[in-house]
Amino acid sequence: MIQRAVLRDPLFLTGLSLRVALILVATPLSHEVWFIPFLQNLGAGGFIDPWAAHLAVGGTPMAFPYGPVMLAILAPGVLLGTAIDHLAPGLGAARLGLALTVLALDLAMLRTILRLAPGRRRACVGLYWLSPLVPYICYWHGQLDVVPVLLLLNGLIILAARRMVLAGALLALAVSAKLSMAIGVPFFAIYLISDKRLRPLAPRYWAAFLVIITLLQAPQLLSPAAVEMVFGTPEAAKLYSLAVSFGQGLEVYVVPVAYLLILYATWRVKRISFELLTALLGIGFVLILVLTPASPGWFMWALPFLVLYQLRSGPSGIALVAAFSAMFVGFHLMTSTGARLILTDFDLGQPLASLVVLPQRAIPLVLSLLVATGLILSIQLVREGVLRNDYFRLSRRPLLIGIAGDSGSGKDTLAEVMIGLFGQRSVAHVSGDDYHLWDRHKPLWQVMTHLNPRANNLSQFNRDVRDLANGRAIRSRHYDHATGRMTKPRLVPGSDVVIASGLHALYSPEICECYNLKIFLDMDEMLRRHLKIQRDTTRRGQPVEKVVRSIESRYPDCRRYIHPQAERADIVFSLQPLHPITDDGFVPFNEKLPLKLKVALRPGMHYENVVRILIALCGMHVDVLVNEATNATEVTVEGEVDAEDIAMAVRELVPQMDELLDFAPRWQGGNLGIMQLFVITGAVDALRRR
Amino acid sequence: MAIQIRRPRPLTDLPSAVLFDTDNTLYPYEPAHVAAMDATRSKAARVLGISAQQFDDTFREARHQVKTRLGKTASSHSRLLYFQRMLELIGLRTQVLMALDLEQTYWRVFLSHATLFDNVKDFLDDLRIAGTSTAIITDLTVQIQFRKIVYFGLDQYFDHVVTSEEAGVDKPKEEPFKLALEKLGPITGSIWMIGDDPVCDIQGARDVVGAITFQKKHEGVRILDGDLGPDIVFEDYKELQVLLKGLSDLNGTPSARVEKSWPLGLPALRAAVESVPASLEKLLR
Repeated sequence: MIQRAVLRDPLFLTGLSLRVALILVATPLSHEVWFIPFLQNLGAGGFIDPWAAHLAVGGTPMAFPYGPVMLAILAPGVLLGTAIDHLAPGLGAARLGLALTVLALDLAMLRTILRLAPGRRRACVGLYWLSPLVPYICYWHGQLDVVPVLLLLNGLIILAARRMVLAGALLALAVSAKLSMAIGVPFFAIYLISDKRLRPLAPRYWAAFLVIITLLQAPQLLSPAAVEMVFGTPEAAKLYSLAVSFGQGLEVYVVPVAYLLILYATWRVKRISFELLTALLGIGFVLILVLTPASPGWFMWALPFLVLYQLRSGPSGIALVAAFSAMFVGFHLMTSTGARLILTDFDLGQPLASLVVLPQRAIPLVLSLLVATGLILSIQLVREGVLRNDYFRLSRRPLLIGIAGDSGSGKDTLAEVMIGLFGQRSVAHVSGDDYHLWDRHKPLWQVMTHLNPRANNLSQFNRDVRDLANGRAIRSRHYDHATGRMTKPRLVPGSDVVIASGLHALYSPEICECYNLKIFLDMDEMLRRHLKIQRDTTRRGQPVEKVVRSIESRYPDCRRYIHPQAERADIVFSLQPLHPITDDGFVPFNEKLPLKLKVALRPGMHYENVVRILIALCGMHVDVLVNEATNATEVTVEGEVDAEDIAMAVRELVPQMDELLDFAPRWQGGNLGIMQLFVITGAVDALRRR
Repeated sequence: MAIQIRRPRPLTDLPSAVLFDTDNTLYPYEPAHVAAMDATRSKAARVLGISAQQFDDTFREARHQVKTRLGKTASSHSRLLYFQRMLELIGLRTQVLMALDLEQTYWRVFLSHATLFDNVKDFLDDLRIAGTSTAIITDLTVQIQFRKIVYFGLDQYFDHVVTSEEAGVDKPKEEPFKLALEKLGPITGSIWMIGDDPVCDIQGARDVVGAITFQKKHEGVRILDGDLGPDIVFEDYKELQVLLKGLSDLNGTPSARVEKSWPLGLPALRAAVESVPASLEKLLR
C-alpha cells in the first residue's frame, strides 16, 4: 500500500484529481477503437483464442498486440463494466472499467518508484505523479505500457532482495505482457553474470524465467491470429526505421547497432551494482525512444528510470527531462491520436496535424529538437548515472589493499577478516610468506632471517600483485607454516579485491603505487613478543625457547627492513596493551589482555566521521591527536564494541559499500572490527580519489 | 503551513539566547524509538527466547517501576535500568552483559534511524551569524545526550548543553533552566525556548525564564490552547529562518543571508526568482 503520508500530500491529491478529471471527461481513441472492443469480444466467446475471435469478427490486427498477461490484468475491469452497461446502458462503465484499471496500475507504479527511491517521497510524487507525461500517455493517448514496465520494475526490486524465483517470474511476466520488455533481458543477464555473489543464485532465476515464459508464450505460438497480432505487430518495424545507407542499395539499422553497443558497454562495466543496472536499463530504453519513431506509450518504458535520474541529478536533470518531455508530447499531439471529450461534440481523437494546417516544417523541426534533447539526455544519463556513479568508479579496477608488518603483528588475521567481509569468491589473496626463497629447513636461514628482503622473491611478489591488479590470474606457491615447506604452485585467479599481505608488502615504492590502500601493522613491542610466543607455541607447535631466540635474532632486521615501511602506509594500526607490560610483569598466556588500538592516519586521510560514529553509534572512547613530527592523525580507540556496532557503523558511513561486500559479510567485534571499519572507509576514500 | 503567532508577545528584536529541547524538537523521536524497540525486541527473542508480547509487557512494567522509584530525574529515563529491571522481572536476575547489550542495541539502532528535522542546521547557522547564544536543555543522562549531539554533528553549533542529570531534576523544574542561564551569562535581550512538550518545554521556560516559547509542531505533538499554550507554533525550521531574517532586517543588523542587488521596482519578480531554488530543493527532498 502507498503510505498514508503520500495519500495526504497535496501534490499527490493534485495529480490524482487531474487523472480522475481526465477519466471523467475524456476517452482515448485507442481505448474506444482498439482495446475495449477487443476485450469485450473476449466475453463474447473469445476466451480460448481471443486474437482469432477478434479477427473473425472483422477486428483490426492493431487492436491488441499484447500477450495473455495484459489480457488477464485488463479484462476483468472491462468485462465487469460491460456487464453493468448491459444492465444500465449509457453509463459508459466498460470505458470506466479500463480507465480505472489503468489508474490502479498507475498508483502501483508510483508505489514501485517510491520503493526504488526510499526517503525521497515528495520528490517521487512531484516527478512521477505530477509529470504531465503520465496523464498524457495513460489517459489521453490511452496506452497500456504501464503494465509491462510495472512488472519489469517490480522484478528489479525483487531481484535486489535476491528472491530469485519470483524475480525471474516477474521478468517473464513483463516480457509476456509486452515483447518489447525483452530489451531489458540481456541487461539482467549481464548483471547476474558480472556479480560473482549472484552467480550461484542465477540458475534459479533463469529456470523461473524460462518456465513462465514458455507456459505463457507457447500457447500463443499455436494461434496464427496471435502470431499475427502480437509477434507481427507493425510497431516492431519501428526499430528498423532509422537506417544509414551503406551504398549499393544496402542499409545499416541504427537501433540494433546502438543497442548492441550499449550491451557491450554494460558488459565492459565488469561488475554492476543494482543502481548501475537501473541506470544502464534506463539508458537502453531512452536510446530506443530517441532513435525510433516511438509510440507515446514507449515513453512509459523510460519514465521510471528518468525519475530516478532526476532524483540523482537535481535541477539540471529535471530541466533536461522537462524539455525532452515537452518535445515528446508536442510531437505526439501533432502526430498521434488523442481522446474524445465526453458529453461534448469536441473530438480531439485525431492527431492535430490532421485537424489543422501546421506550418510545413513544424513536425520535422519538433522531431529534430526531440532527437537532439534525447541525445543530450542520453549523454547525461551516461555521465551522471554511470561515469559518476561511486560504485562504477569503485569497481572498474580491482581494489588493491597492501598489508605489511612484522611477524606476529596480525597480517594474516587482518587479511582473513577482510576476506570475511568481501567474500572468499571476490578476493585474491597473495601472502608474502609464499615468496620465501627457501623452505624453513634450508641452511641459509642460519645466516639470514625471513625479514631480509634478499631472502624473499620480492620481484615475483611485485609482478604477481601487478598482474592481479590488472585482472590477470597468477600461479603461486604456498608456504605451509606447519611443515615449513612450500607447496606446489596453485592458480590464483584475478578478482574484485586483491589483498597482498606480507613482511615486505610495502617494501618497494613502485608496488606501493599500485595499492589503493596501504596498511602497516605495528604493535607494542612487549605485546608483540607475548602474542608471538603464544601463537608459535600453540598454533605452530614450536618450543618457547626457540621462539624467544628467533625474536631476538630477528629484531635488528625488523628495525632495518620492516619498520621503515610504516612511513609508506596510509594507515598504521598499532595494538597496545591498556596497561603497559613490563619486563618483570609476567602475563599468563591464557589470560585475556585488555587492549586499545592506536590508528595513525596519513595526513589528508579523512577520520572525522569515523570518530564521530565510533563515539556516537558505538559508544567508544576515542582520543584524537596530531603527531607534530609526522602530521599524521593518531586516533586511539578504547572500549567494547561488537560486530553489530561495526556493521551499522559501516552502513552509516559508506552505505554504497553494501554492493562490494559479501551478502553476509562477517563483521568482527573488538579491535578487529575497528580495523575493518577504518580499512573499509579508507578504501572507499582512496577509490573515490582514483 | 505558515508560522502561527498565537499569543501576541513583543517580537521586535533578535533573541539574545535561544534554548532548545533535543528529543522530538531537533529530530523526530518516534520513528527512531520504534526501530530501536523492534531491534531490541528481536534480539531479546533471539537470545532469551521471549515472545514479543512478553518483551513488551515486561519492558512496560520495568519502565513503570523505574520511573515510579526515581521520579522526575535523568536516571528515570535510563534504558539500561529499564533493561536491567526487565531481565529481573523475566526471572533472570541481574544479567549485566545482556542488559548492556540490549541498551547498546537500542541506542545504536535508535541513532541510525534518527535524522534531524529539515533546516535545523541552517537555522542554527543563522543564529550563529546573528550572534545569538544557543543552549540545549534536555532531560535524560549526559552520556547518551552527548552521543546524540555528536551523531548529529551538532557539537559545533551549541554554546552550552544542560542535561537533567547535570541539573538533578527534569524539566519543567526550574533547575535545568537556571543552570542554562548561569552558563549563558548575563543576557540583556529576549530569550526564546524551542521545544515540543507543552509542559516541560513551553510552560517550564515561560514560568522560569520568561522566554518567548516556540512549539515545534508535527505528528503526535500536543498543543495547548490559551494561556497554557505556546507563543508561536511552527512546523519547519525554515519558518524560523524567515522570522529571524525579518527581525534582522527590522533592526538593521547584518542578515544571515547575502543579499543580491536587484533592479528597483521588481520585488515580485525577485521574490519569484528567489523562491525557485528553495522550491526545487523542497521538491527534491
